[in-house]
Amino acid sequence: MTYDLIDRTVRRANPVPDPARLDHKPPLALGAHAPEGLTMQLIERPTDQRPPDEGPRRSRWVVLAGAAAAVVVAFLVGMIVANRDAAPSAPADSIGPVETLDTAPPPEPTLLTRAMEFNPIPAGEYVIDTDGDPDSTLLATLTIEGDRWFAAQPGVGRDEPNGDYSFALLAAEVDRVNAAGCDTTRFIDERGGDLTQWTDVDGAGARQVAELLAGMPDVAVIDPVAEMTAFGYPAIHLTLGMPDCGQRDHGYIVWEGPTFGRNYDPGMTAEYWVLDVDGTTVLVEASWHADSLVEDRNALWDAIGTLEITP
Amino acid sequence: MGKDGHDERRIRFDRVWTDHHRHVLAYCLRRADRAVADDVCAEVFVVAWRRLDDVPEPPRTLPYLYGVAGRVLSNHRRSSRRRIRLDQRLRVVEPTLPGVAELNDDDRIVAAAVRGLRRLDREIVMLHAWEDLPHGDIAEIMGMSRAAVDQRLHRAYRLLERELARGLDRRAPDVPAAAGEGVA
Repeated sequence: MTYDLIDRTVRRANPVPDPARLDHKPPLALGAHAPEGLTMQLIERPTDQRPPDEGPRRSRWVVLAGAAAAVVVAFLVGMIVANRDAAPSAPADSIGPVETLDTAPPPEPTLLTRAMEFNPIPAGEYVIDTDGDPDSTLLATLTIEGDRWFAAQPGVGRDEPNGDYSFALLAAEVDRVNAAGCDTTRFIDERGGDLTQWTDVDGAGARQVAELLAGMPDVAVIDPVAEMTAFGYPAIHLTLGMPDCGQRDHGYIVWEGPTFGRNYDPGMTAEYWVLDVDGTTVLVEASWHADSLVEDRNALWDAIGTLEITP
Repeated sequence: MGKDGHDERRIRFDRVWTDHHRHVLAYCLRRADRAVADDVCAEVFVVAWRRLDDVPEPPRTLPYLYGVAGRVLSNHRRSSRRRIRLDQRLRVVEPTLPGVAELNDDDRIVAAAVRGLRRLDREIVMLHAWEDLPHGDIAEIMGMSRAAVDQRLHRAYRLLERELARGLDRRAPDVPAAAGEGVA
């Protein structure tokens, strides 16, 4: 089912396809008479005409009344605070925008560095330098929640409870793509990392990189190359299933950037958005194992939803 | 406020009400049953009246009202949670109101799949496909970046595709789709 078809399908299931056909008066009289009634309540409320305080006897009562009012206010504030602390958090399935009243300035995002690589990182906002070059300005920011995250200089990964790990989200400028699939993987295993089977894509456009990825001889193309807008930029999207070449320890290598090379276990799924960020090709990857937990996948999609690219 | 100011305020509110109340009600009916939708719709316009100076001019008016409606609906659901399981009611759209569609079996499966999405994804899909808003407006209502809306919508449609395939497969042996009505 294509994107357009699913879009048409969802639109067809609209319970109220034509609001103009709604012949209905809500119970609260907000029609032609509402402004008048509300005006009486909200605007034309009588002003306070109490005469000014004139005598010491009245002053004493005012002080007493004020003190009593202060006690009542303090009690009510205490109740409100207690209720707020005891109130459940916002329901996970509530509908509509999330209201946040937190006025404290957010903490500065943390730049992910090589020194942090593979170390655990706490929940928070992080900055990815997509090429590892501090002089370049192209950065990606993302926010992660929960625990079991670790840093990978062009992104973040997530430790899985079974002791394995799954790189969750990477954003990198890619230099090379594996041109020979399993053959290159075996070649590297046997020859100690000779990269002569690779295709240099430094400076290549998004479509070229995407087509090279999709054209790798042993991968399963789950989602073919398709143009879309992603993260605010023109993008080519594709999803690949990684082959079993007999590799171990994430040994099937697919792409390399200036700071990172990406290898996969058999059966892993990798979803790519190859972005054209004002002329620079940036690969955003989300990947997971076939048996990754739903919790981990949800955390992955939540993190992807926060990703922003700054040229 | 003088009489002229009062009249101007009334005229403006009447215009906001006349131009948009059906759309706001439709928004509510897509997300809640009729009784809740009525209450929420009314409350949206009470808020609009109280904060009329904050209500932007068209074409920004409707996205603003949708944003208010989302918050009012969210508050309504939270406050009602202790009394009833509103979740159960929220999944029902009564087809008795003129303008509310009678969905066929396939469309019911689609609507159910949409309502089964995660909260933010569901709202983005509904705002995109049912309120027919551009992504920039959705981003503003949701308080997220345009890129996040793009991404979440794409992801949600992928999930819907899989859910629909499963849902229609499950339904197929019992309730055959009428000719031409199947979801591809």
